[in-house]
Amino acid sequence: MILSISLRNLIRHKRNSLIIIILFALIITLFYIGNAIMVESGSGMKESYVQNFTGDLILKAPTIMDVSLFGPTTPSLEDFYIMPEITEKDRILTILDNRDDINQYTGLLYGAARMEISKEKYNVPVFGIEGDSYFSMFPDTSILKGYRLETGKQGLMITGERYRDLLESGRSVEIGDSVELKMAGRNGFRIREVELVGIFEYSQSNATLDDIVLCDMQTLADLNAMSVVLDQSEDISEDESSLLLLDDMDLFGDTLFGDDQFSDESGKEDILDNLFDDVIEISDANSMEKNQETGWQFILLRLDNAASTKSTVKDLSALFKIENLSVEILGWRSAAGFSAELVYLLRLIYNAGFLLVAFAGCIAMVNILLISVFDRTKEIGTLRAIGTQKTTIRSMILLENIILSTLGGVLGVFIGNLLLFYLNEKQIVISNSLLRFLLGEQFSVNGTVQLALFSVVISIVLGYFSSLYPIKHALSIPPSTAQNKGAY
Amino acid sequence: MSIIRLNNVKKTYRMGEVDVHALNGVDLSLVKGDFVAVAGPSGAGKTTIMNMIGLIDLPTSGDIEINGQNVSTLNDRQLTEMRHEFLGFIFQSFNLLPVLNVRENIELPLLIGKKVPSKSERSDWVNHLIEEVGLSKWHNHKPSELSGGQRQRVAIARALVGKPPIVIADEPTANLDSITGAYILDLMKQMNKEFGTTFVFSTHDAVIREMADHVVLLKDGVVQEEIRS
Ligand SMILES: Nc1ncnc2c1ncn2[C@@H]1O[C@H](COP(=O)(O)OP(=O)(O)O)[C@@H](O)[C@H]1O
Ligand SMILES: [Mg+2]
Repeated sequence: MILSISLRNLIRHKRNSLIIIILFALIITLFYIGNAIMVESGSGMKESYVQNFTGDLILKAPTIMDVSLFGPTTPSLEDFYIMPEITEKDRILTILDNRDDINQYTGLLYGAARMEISKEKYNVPVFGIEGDSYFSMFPDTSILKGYRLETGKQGLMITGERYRDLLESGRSVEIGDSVELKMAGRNGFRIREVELVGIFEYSQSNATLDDIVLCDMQTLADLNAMSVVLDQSEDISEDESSLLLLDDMDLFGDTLFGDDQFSDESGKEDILDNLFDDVIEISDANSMEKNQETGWQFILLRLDNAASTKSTVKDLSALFKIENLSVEILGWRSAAGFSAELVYLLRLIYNAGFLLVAFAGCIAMVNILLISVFDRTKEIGTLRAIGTQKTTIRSMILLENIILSTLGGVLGVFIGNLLLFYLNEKQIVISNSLLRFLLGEQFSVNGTVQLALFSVVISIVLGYFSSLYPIKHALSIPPSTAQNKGAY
Repeated sequence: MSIIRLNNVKKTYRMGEVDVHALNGVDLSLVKGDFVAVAGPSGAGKTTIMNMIGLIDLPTSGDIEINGQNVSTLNDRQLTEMRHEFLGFIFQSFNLLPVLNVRENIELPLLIGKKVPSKSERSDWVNHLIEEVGLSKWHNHKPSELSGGQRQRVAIARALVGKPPIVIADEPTANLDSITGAYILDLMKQMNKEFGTTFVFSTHDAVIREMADHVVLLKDGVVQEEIRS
């Protein structure tokens, strides 16, 4: 009966009900579309990162600052920060080998380098990999030209995007070309020449991934100068001594990642290049065939079931603790660094903004609901006079608003889906580079059932909160109001 | 045996800066099963005294006893429950719920209480009352489709549906023409006889009050005279 009174009141006060439903619908449309877009970019990004680049989980040595696979996420205090390698790697690997939920793992090194290829110079993130385990962990990467790096062999791979970029600028790139990697360190620079062995392509790509250069772990370890050299090599020590010439010259500017770090416009840099050519003996691949064992900065894990990531993290941290191993576990988001965190941050910001809009909407709603209570003052007074408890009055009004907010929420999701459908149909090509990075080249966003349900729940919660004050007012209506003059 | 007792009841309304003394010390004792008229000119305090007896407003001072229970100690929930269990109220302006039809308006008090009677019990009793007040043909109509007299008959049935020992009616005929008004009073009297319900109604009509067993003459918030027949 209470339900039917509520329903009939809503129908009787059509105009008010409609206004409230539309208000809820607008707020929820905003929430739904915004979050659908961000969920999509989030999940698209998760797909491409987890499948191509980070794996499900990442192990690393403890560091003071937040670190991603691309090094520190905040501008480093040290100019040439090199990630520490994981200590007691073998014990950790034993643990990993013994776990059923871990399907595969591979080691990884990172370095920011200046790459010269076919006379073009780029600042690139370089990953030192062990080809066999790396590519078996990321099988979706395809080879456009050449072949995959093999464990123990030296070589370097660039992405198809960079390859096309080179061709477009009129350079010819062939497998077997020599590529120069130059890295700044505390003691100066290190340079290695590596052979281009392959051009690879990620199954899903974006601007960050397109930049990546893969090379054998040994070469990167040398560049990072962190290799444990079992058989001390002559020319490496020569390198080091000659490099001392350049020590203390802050030629690379302040940040390792700065865009103009190796800026071509910089005259300083040309001098530097000449200096390198003159002074430094460039070690070639052959001089490095040494019995060396490199440490790993990261271990990327592929799980059997990506859905059980949480429990694996829990188990592993417990195990590492028991074994007294100092190693940290990262999720794909932290491992991918700023770009992935960005989506997360954007979503936070969007929803903070949404909260403000929702708050304003709620204030409008409170006003309409208050008016609808005012309109029914005598009716409520009568109900009280004939013995209706306050709690029942509360339920009636709450029920009305929950019905309205639910309808509004459902309508909002519906409108949101219509809008998304319309936008998808229009095949909008995204030109803004940030949006493109987040959403891909063409706008294609679909809501999820989960998000739809969540949106309706949000609507109901908003309905509940906007009812509180009008209900408070309704409950303050005394029974004697039933005696007020005026028909109703 | 008195079912309603008022002891030096005063009610003062504050209108801005001035106090309006609507009731100025009313002592009253009403007998169970009586058909009581509270009569007096406009502004005498009839509505105020009805509100006090009907527990929809509280006195500024003085005691009210309903069914032997002093109500001054009751909280809002208990007063509401008492209104629901012991009292029926008929308003001058009918006060039916516009969204409900005749049957639903009458049934409403049965649905808002702690104990809700079974559906068949409800419908038998409501049907009976609809017949008693002569609205069988109209049971599906909304209040807006009824005449004033018909609406007041719905209100009478609604007041009686909970089988309360007391029904309060504040000028139930004031918004009706005299023939319809007389009919409504007859109906109330008939219910009073049939169910033994104590009826207390107010009126400014000297003719109507003649139907009462007990007339309370009110003027300027004090009882001037009581006539028992
Ligand atoms: N809510 C109120 N506020 C202020 N004064 C009121 C209020 N209700 C009634 N009064 C005053 O109290 C007196 C008695 O009113 P009422 O009980 O309505 O008389 P009656 O019903 O006999 O016409 C009148 O002077 C009236 O103006
Ligand atoms: Mg009056």
